[in-house]
Amino acid sequence: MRQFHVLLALLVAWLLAPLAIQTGGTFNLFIFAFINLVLVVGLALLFGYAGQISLGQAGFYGIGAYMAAILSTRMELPPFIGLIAAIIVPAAVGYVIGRPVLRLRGYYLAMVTAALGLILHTIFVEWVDVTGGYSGITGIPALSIGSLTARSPLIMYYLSGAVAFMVMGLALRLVDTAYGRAMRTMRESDMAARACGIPTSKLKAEVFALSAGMSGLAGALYAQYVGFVSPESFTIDASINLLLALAVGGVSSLWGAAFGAFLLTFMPEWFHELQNAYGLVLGAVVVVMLTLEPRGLWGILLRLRALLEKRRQVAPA
Amino acid sequence: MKVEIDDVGVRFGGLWANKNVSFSFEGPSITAVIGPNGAGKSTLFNVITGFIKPTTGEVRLRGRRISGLAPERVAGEGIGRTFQIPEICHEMSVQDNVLVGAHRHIGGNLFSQLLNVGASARREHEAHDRVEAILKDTRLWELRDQPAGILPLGRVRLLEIARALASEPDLLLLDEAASGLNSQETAELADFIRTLPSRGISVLLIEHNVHFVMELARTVAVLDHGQLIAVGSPEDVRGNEAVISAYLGKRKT
Amino acid sequence: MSSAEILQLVITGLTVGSIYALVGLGFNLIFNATDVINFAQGEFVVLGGILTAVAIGTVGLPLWLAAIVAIVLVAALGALIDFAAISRVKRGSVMTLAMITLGLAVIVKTSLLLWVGPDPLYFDPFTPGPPIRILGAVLQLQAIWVIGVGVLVMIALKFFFSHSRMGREMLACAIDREAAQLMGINVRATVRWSFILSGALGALAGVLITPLTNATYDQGFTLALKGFAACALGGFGRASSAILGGFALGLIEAASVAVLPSGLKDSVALSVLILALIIRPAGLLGGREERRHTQAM
Repeated sequence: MRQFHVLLALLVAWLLAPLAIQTGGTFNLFIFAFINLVLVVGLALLFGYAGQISLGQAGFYGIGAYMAAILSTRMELPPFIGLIAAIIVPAAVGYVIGRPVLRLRGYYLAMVTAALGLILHTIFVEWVDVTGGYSGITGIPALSIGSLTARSPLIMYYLSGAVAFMVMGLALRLVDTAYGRAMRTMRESDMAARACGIPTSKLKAEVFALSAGMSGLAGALYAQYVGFVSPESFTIDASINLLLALAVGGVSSLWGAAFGAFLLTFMPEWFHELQNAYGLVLGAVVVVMLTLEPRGLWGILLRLRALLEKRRQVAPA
Repeated sequence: MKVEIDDVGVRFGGLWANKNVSFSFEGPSITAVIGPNGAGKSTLFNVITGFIKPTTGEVRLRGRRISGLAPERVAGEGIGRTFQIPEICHEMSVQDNVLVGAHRHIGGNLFSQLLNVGASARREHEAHDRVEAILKDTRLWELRDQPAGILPLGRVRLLEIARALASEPDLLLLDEAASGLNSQETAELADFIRTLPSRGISVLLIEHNVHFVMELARTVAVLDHGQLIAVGSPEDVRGNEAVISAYLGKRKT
Repeated sequence: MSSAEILQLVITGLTVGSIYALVGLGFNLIFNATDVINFAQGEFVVLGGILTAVAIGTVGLPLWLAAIVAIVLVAALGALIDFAAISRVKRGSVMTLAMITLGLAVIVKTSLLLWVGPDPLYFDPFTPGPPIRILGAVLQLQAIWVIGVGVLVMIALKFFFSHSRMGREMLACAIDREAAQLMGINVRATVRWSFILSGALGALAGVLITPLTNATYDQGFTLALKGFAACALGGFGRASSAILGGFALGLIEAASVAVLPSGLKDSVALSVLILALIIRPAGLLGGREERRHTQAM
């Protein structure tokens, strides 16, 4: 499939890119872009298949990060146990909440996840004994094999990149599986799906759990790389930004999610002189983009492609 | 395979959409439910397929109660259906739409499907073969890669039937499948439906088009105002006084 | 707990509940007309409070004029949002519209931060004077304003919906938009008016509550969430449900402060929302979602 060819080409570019990258700062950006990609693709899967939006992605991200942090510092367990917990705990929470709430159409999940995100943030802040409150948890030991440690920008570039590519690849592959077909049907017609034997509320909850688990994984990566976690990375604003990133990139497309994630990471860099005023840029980009092309950057790409095909047809052979 | 509809009643607010509906049929055969608009035919279908819980009575398949089960469980019992207003996925290809029907036979968990390994990979393959046969039967094979949204209504109805057939049902419920079709399409549909019992599939039809039904069905049940006013062979029903006045009475107003 | 404490709790609960009800009503208006959740609803409230504070403090207007100016400006903002963004997006992409309101919420919040800074703004209560003591509980004069004006507005809205042409048109759109259009109702205008009215309601809530709680640039989203909780608690779709839900939420929140540390106050209200949706999605009164569900079958 063409999309896999594109992915492969990007993979090669990714593998070779460190030859050209000079500064640690650039590695930093790419690492966060990959982490954001996992987060935003999770949102895309949720919207694409369950038709709902989540405003709590940062909350699950936080659970993952704190799980990784707490298990490896307070409880002194090996880092990769923290990684597994970081995936499973948010996924479980997602499933439990998703099962009853996803049955409802409309914005209920959006609001429930927003509420959940705020509650989680409060927990991160108030439960000082476990989470360290505002100061958070420091000194998180990094995953390491021999001398290769997750704390090093180059290693993390490859690790987070590998995770990102794997997530993209699996998400693209999902479309052609029975699960993928079931979910696409569920999206357009809940009745038709159920008439075919598809347990739609269970499946929607599973998608939500998947999305939450992915966020947890992203959180663990973050904790590993940065070495400390604190509540200010996991606010409702972070969740809102992730959702807006998806909207700008293209809410109905995995590639749109990828665009959005990169935009979300790189835009603050481009506008970093603005500091507080950056929110204006983000908001303005969202409003203008969605008003002109609801399908986001991906939609613009589709329009370009349609335009090029028209030209090709008009021009003599 | 026996289907028993036993004293089914459905109440919405103060209104009985179905009341004391009782009849049964055995398969493989073709049975029809007819009646004027608003007679409660679709409600009965929704009760059988689990989309509505009956207020009274029950529906039994092979002696076991299926009414009150969730639609996905009813589908698992071997009942497939189409919808009065077709519910297809416009963005997905014709083939993918039909493959969804085979979902319950593919199984496997998410990972084995993603990696295309194990038993689910084999069953996916088998499903593709089965769907190919169905698509050729319904003459949708040439259109298999087209997005379903481009199909005209006649083909869309066939697509829904194909999807229901992909689940290998014992009982197929067709909700106004001939509605909106021209006479050639209607004749082709009738021919196709006629072949199903010989493949072991029973058909229960809801229809407005009384001619269409009389040629096909072995048993005809007539509903009016939610109640069963006649049931029997097409000849019996055609001469039935209550049926005639139900239709004539409707035409006057 | 003594009866004085309980009474105090009820007073506090009704006061904040009145605000939540007003926010919920604003949500309801827009949702009924467009199926869109206006994520910027909370910002309308914050704007109302801050604009009034600035008008009094910096421009020197008297309270009544400042409040009117603030309400009119926010109502105009509502109209602008509809004109510039909502009306231009093709119909059917409801999620897109919701995302746009989210982007707008970010714009408003950032603008406020840049304009007035992160510190809370404040202005004096409508009527000066010491609070009234009733049976051992303390009733702030401003609280009487909040509850009183709130209730008056709710009654006025009821009349608006049942007796005025525009109100009835809005109701018709809420029940079935296509049918309303076929009957000749100008849906576009209805949408615009629902944004204007929603803005005005939000700003009014802000004007009422600021003397009691101050206005800070980042209160908007949490308020919006609570307004949504009010609608969900009561049952989406009907105005009276939003009102009931708002007061219920306010009382629950006030009660929780008596038992738990105040830092958890918001979390309690939000947990109530989550639990309510899980246990009884149709809300206390049974709302539109439930009706839609059965009709779909």
